[in-house]
Amino acid sequence: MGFEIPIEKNSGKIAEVTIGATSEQGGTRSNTITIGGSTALPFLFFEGEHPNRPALAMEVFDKVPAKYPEALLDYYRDVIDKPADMAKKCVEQYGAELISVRLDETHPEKGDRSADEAADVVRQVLDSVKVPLIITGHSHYEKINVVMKKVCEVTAGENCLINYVETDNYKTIAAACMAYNHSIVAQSPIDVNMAKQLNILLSDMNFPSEKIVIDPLTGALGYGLEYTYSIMERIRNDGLAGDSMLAFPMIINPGYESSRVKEVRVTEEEYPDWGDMELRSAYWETATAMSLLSAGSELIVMYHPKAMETVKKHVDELYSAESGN
Amino acid sequence: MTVTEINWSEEVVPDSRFTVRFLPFDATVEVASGTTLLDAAVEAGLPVKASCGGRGTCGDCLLSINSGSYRARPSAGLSKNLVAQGYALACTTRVTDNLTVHLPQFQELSIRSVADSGFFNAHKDEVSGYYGPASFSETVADVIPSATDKNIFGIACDVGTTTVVVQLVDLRTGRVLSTASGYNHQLKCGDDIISRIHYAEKPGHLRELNTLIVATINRLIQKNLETIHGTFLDIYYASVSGNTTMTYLLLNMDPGNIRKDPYAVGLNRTRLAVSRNLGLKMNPEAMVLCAPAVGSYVGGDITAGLLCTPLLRDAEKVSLFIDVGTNGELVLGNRDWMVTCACSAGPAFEGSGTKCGMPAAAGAIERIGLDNGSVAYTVIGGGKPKGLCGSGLVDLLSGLFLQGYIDRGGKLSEEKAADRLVETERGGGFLIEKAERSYWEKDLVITENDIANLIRTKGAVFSACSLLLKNVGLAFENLDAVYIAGGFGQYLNIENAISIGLFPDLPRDRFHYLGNSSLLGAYLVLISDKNRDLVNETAGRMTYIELNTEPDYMNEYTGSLFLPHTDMDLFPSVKRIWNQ
Repeated sequence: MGFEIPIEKNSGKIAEVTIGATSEQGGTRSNTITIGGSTALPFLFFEGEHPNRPALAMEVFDKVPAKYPEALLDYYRDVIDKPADMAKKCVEQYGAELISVRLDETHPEKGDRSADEAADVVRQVLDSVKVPLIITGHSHYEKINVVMKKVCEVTAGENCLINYVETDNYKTIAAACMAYNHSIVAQSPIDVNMAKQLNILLSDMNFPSEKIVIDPLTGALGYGLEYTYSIMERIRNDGLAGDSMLAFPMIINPGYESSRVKEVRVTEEEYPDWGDMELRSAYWETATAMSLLSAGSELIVMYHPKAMETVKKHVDELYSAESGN
Repeated sequence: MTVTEINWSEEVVPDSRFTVRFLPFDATVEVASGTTLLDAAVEAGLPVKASCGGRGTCGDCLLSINSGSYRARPSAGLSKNLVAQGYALACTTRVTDNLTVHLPQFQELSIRSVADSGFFNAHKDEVSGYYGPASFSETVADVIPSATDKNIFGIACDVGTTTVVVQLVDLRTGRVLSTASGYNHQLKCGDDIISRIHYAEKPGHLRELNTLIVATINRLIQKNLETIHGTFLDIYYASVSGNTTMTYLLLNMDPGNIRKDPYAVGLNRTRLAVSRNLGLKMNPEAMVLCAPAVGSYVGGDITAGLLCTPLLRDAEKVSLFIDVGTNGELVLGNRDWMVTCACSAGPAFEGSGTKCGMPAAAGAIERIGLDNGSVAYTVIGGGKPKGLCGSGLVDLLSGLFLQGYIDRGGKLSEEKAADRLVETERGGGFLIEKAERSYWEKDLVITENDIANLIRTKGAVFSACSLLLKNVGLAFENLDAVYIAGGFGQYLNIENAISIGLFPDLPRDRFHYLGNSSLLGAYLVLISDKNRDLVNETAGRMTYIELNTEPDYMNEYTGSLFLPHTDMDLFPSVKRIWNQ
């Protein structure tokens, strides 16, 4: 008697979310990116459908982050303070499928850049690359509400992914997304119930469910990754089991998280045992990203070009094995 | 009383010292002239709060000055009308004389709120406790006088973390002669059990806490005796029910280990003491009996409280007993088995912990309804409202939620609530009543913080219910009856309590509101030795579950921090209304 792989059937399906809009759809992007749609746990092709590959984004900044790692500066030194050029480099040289524009300088304590200036930055990036955009904000509610409203307005029709809203501050940004037809990231602090609660609140506003992406909040490897992992696993399992309020694709930020940890930032001179900093920082981000892909994430925002390359290769291999090539 | 409203900025020379006496706590401090009453209150260790930080704008530190002269600065937080009645703000009032001051937020509680026993009166034959003509307890047989013209009194006493109630009973007839209640004087040492246990750790503090609770009880005994013109020498027996920590503190036992897990609680049988050893104002030879505890956070108030329910008699039915207090306690089971647990609920439904909340006393809104922008309510004792008691808060939260003034996370909707949205010292809120129509002549407002507090409290209670049932493999629909005890006030609306997710969505006729079951239980133990034996036996049969060590508790709890719950399918009847 031969061995038969036991197959688990799920009743639920993860929602499909499309980001970006081509000229036929009222935008200016050369293509759109669709994530989600799975009916099984990640990479388990024998158990269900995985119609869309995980998407790999990279991030640009309105202001050079104060603690931007040395290891990354070598790649971006020429463009780091020019978001439009950096976006171009990410797409053309490193293969970014989406670009995230991080608007940290609008934070009142980090420069207090105005909403109009932020909208200009986004505009420039939109003009320089043709991939769909993610617009990433911060946690100063009053300010980010003004900024996102403006950004939503000037990018109307582009179907950006507006990143993010949370339970304590969701109404203004969600309303702007609905008015200008953008998608949204619902962020909650590593908790299944709170993730669900925010999605319910958005649904109660009649926010379309095919436009919600969950950010379960992640840490980097060594910084509570296993905790995030099991929460993401539970979100995905509940979604697949038929809980429609948890059946959304998930976005994670291994690049941002890894860039802040000591293991990526200290030099080999300081810690000889730890080895080459440049390689180490790529490994760290890769390990973080691959782990969270296995936990169910569909959209990852990367920083390190080497890590990006490795992760992309892995995803390619996993998907090509499925198609028999 | 002399008010000196001269130039506030003019220095008061701190050249002399005066005493300030704070009622109803009877705390006295000596301070230098020119000290503000707020500083004096802090020095006396009283729980007087000022959310504006002492700038005289929030009006939280309102007090009335009974005697003595003082220097007060007029302030926005206080109307002229109230000033004329002797009210002042502690933060803007300087001491220039010996003063006696009353803290109105700690007013005497009304009897009606604390001794309501509607369920008991209607079901005397069904409840577990024996109820009949009083019989003299064996324990006091030796000390009571034989002369028939002498009074023979006993007291039933409910010692709560926040409030204490004492009932004076004629032991010959079982008749309740008088009831008095007041705040536990230990309040100045912390709001909840854990902070009291912490407080007791420092040298000398255990004795202080013990003295404070004895003083609280003695004052209430005295009040009762004044009502009937009796003497304390006629009191021969006391029955006390309180949570484990309060009982420890009354008996001057160190509560330090209660917090440590695992801990086998030391009062698992009724404890007898002689009143002269405790310092209680009774006949020196009188006996004091404390109801037994089951675990660290399930005490004599619960074992005694069960006497007021049919739970201990039922063989077939499965009932849930819930006591919603600063600590919530639950008992699940029937005659043959019982499990119990406690959760830290917070005092929101007892009237503390929210800006607009108050105990179920005169001036509290006990019922309130919202109807498309208009608010209708009833006030205990009539007149202008001072705040909302537990039942009013349940009604209000339910109304705000079902009518869409707040979202399911408890955040106010700016569009829907626009007409009634106000900014306060503690953030944005919903205006319940305008200043000119409220007792304190200040807007009566429920803030988003208050709402979050209420949601946390109801979440703690519901998740404990849910986990207790899971522990024994039962579901909510297996419950035949739910008995609810607690200081909500007289008119707890079960429908509204379910719609906010405080209690499970079951047929409404399965719910029974008991009122203060702890006091009634203490009374039953007082009038019959049969009940004393029953309460001992009950304590011996209860299995205590420690929720803090249950890994699932946090998950259940965050799931419950939503209206009515993250999983709406648990509340089908609320879902129907919501979907309309």
